[in-house]
Amino acid sequence: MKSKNNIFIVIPAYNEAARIKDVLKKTLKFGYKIIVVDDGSSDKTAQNATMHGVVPLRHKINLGKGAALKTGCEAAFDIGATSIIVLDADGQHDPKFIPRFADSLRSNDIVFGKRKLVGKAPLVRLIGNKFGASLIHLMFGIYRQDLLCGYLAFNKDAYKKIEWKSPRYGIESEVVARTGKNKLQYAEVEISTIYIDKHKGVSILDALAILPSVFKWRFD
Amino acid sequence: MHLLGIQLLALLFAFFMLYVNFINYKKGKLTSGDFFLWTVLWLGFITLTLFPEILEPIIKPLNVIRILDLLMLMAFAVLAIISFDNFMKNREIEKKIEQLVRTQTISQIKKTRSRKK
Repeated sequence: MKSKNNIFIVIPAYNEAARIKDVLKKTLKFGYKIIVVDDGSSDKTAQNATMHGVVPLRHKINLGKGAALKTGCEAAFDIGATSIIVLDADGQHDPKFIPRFADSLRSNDIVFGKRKLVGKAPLVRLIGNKFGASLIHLMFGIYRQDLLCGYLAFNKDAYKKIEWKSPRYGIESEVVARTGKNKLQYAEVEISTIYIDKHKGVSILDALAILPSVFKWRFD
Repeated sequence: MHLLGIQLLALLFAFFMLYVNFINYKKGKLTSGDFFLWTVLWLGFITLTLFPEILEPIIKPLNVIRILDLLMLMAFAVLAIISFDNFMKNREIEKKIEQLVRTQTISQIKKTRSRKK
């Protein structure tokens, strides 16, 4: 039985001092324990993340989103979490969808956020997403239209199977690939699309760097 | 001895690299073994640049037309080996750093909890 006590929210953050407080205030309303992993920020992200009900962790140097998330998840499982909901620190993911993720986790191993991309995302991102989604579908038998959405939730058993190796960007695609590879039960929750900064997140270069990894995940 | 332009260029480069090798050894960045290895490599390069005919006996059996082509192939092979070695070492270091930082970070939460108890 999943209660609010054993579902943790993990938020990896890098140089998000300006937005992290707002994200945390909105997230704290739902009463879940929150772990923020400051990934070696050079601004005041760590200080701004220190508020009641939040466990702040800090990487001494920047390792990347994948590594920060892994630290957060392992710390959460260490202190009693059975499930984790992940959201970004930049305000791109509206915390109001957290209850839907928690509900969906009752009957699924993993829950992915799904943004309405058409008409909102830049064209190059749409094409990249489509290409990546088709490649992952071909290789792992799972089709997720919104491959790069980092709003997701999973339980402890699923984490052991999807445990990603990508230290930087690429973790979202890797999680999808490993979900397909391990034939995990998954669901999608529709979320609203908020594009905060078009230069943040996964760039075209990041996406190209992820491409060879797709083949690597197949044979891992 | 009549030197071609490309030979002159190769010699200048090799002597410069010998100098870089020596400076790094003096600064303690290279071990005696490393210094010896790189010195032998660059002296070998200088020898082949000055006396390329040394390679003539092996050119025919390898079906290589010119000595320069063989030198290029050898250079690419050396570069490929060094690149791969760098790639492997880099990856190993990255993994070790990641593990170190993550373990240290997770221990923060354990410390905080034991203090609260």
